[in-house]
Amino acid sequence: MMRRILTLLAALLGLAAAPALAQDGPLRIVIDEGVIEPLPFAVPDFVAENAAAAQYAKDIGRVVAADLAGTGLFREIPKEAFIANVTSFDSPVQYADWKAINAQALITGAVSVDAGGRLTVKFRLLDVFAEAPLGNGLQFAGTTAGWRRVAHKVADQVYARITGEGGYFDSRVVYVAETGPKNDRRKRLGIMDYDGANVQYLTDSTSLVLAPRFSPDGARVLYTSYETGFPRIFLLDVASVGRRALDDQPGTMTFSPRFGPDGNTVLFSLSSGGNTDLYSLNLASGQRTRLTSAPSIETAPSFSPDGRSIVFESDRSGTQQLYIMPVGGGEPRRISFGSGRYSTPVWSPRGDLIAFTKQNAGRFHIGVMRVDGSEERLLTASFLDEGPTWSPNGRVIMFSRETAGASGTSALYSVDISGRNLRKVPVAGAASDPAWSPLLP
Amino acid sequence: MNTGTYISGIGHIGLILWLLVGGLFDARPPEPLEVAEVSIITGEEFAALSAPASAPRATAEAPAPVAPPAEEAVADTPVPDTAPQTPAVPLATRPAPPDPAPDVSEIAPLPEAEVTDAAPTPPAPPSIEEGTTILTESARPRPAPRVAPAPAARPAPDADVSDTVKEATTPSPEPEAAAPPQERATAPEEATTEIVTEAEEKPDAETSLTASLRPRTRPAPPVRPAPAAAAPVTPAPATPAPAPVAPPPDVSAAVNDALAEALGGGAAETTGNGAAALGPPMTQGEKDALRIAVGACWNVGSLSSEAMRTTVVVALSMAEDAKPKIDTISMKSFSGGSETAARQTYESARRAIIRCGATGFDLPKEKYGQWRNIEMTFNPENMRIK
Repeated sequence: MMRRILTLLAALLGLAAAPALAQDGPLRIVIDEGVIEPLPFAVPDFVAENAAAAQYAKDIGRVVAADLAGTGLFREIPKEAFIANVTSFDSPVQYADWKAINAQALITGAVSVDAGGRLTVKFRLLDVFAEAPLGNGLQFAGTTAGWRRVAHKVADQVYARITGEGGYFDSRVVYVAETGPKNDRRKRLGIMDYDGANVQYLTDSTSLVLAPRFSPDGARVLYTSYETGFPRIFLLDVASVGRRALDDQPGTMTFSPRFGPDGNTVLFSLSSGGNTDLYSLNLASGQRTRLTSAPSIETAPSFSPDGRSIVFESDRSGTQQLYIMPVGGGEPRRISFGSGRYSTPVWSPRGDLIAFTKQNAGRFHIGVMRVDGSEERLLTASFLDEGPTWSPNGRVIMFSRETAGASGTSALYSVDISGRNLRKVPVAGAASDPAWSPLLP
Repeated sequence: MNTGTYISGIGHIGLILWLLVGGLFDARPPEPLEVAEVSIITGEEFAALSAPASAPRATAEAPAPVAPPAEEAVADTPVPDTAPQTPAVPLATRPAPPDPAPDVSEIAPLPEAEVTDAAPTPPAPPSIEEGTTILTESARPRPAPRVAPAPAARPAPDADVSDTVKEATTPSPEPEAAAPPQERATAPEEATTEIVTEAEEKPDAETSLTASLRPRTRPAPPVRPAPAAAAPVTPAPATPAPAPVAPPPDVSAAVNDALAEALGGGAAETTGNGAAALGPPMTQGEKDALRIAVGACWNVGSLSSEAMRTTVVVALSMAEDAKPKIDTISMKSFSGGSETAARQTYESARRAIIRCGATGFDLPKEKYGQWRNIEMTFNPENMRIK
């Protein structure tokens, strides 16, 4: 009897092992571990198709390379390592020469300038190891004065084709340019390319300005000015630099404005009688709607991308925390529960994350969390980090950092939402309160 | 005796003469001396030089401080603060209107390169002609015990002498010559140039055993004859015999097969369903080595957040040199993301396969049938920032 049982067990064991060993079809393996490192790419100088385009060809290639390398997702292979060069835009590519230097992406381009000063840039993105183009070639045309925008457009295309998400290079940043010592700081609004180039000023420094915010189309800017002695919201047209005050009610203070996704609704804080609440304003009709009515301070509202919800900060629990509420009104729901104080929440353009400023244990942080408050991650830490703003694709956060001491100054920094690639934005002079525009048309 | 005296005398005389004439004891000329010029000072001067510096003597009258000239008359009464002169701040310059939106239009796709990376065709092996002997490394002459470049011809047999005498016969007319029996061509008898004794003979690496098989602990049980499927019906005996006990179903053969599979024999060797051509199955270590090799080149650093949530299954075929056939790489399926995200993940996976497979993966050649076709599932979920 025992022998039969053992025999049966052995048979079952063998039958169970047989399917594991027998291989049906192709060999199957699962790869769930890779590497996270910048993708090496090469940008040989764009080909100048006529003499007038020679300098533009060099400069555009450099801007494209700087855009990509600045993301931290790509690594430029220096020209000194090149084995081959591209002398004609339409000549066949010697992939073996680029494989030899481990260039995984190759960007070739050509530039021409016609007699009327019209600049034309065409480019191709090539997958070196697949020996195939990544998408079709494209060409952009513009004025020679706007050659940097054309370069940013090329970089946006390359970025989108490789990463699968939109770029953010052809965008602008409005910020507060600061001069003077800390006890006599003068501030005015400045606007620049995302990389710090082409700085222009929108206001003078006769009055204090704060917290500029772009409209969804990038054509207008909301900001807070103290020119009347009290904080007041102004709406400024970027093209004409014309401005007007919004909701100019005597005896009130308005501040912390932000556009809604429709471009016609403005959220802001209004302080009256010692109480601060949230309001919305319809720009077309001028109708003002009160959103909160609590004795606590509610401020820094930010719309969700779909326009249905608002995230804001409130001290109704005793300390500054983040809350979410429907636009139409309703009970706010607290989403921040960590130690310390949370402020300046900004909803990601993707809608999945909320960036915020956190103060804890004498340090300031820029962090992100899920919409439900989970998965909080702190991306930076310093003496004073504050005022996050999202890049158009929701991948990068720009903020202002102030150094300690009487001679401390403010500067703009950017960081990837992974916490990597912290970089100082090259701006002449001190700067704070950045606001990123959408991608330009 | 005298000879020694003479030699000694001559030697001493020569030595004395050499000392006198050779100038061994001449004094060497004095070397020139370096002379430094000095100046002579008096004792008072030396004391004045070596004495410690004394404190400066106070002058008889210190110069009276001169009051600085009053630059401005300071009023005793305060005046109200004036507004600080702020530097003239330039008014906001009107920013240039944004550049017009660039035109975007597609251009012609890149023409195909005429240069190919195909390896040149290897020279064809020489054709085998009739009568040509082909030597290969595996052709090994069989051993022959004799030493001779060619075997000696066999001697003719000796003629027997008959005891009886027979008359000579006349030859009859020759019949038609019968065709001589055709001899079969045989291989020449083997020979060698030297005798290699058994002690000197090296074992044949191909055929000789390097280790003896371990004997089984128990002999295999004798195979019982299977009972006839349809036994003839026999008439029942008068006295009923006890009913034969039906033998238990024999599962030992199945158990042996299953154990053979489980212990490494593998289905490929036992099933006989054509799997033998695949070779033995891949071990888990070999699969892990391939997984690690591909993963080392799989760079997900440039993938979007959505692509990092997308799992793709990539199918490909491999060449016998363990290099991937690039034109066979394709995305079989994906899950967890959009098609755009899946394409990004797939392209990163394809780059990984091509890059790390350029020199061939470390795969066992005898198992080529097992890894000829591979499906790789790329799942970046573990590397996603959460």
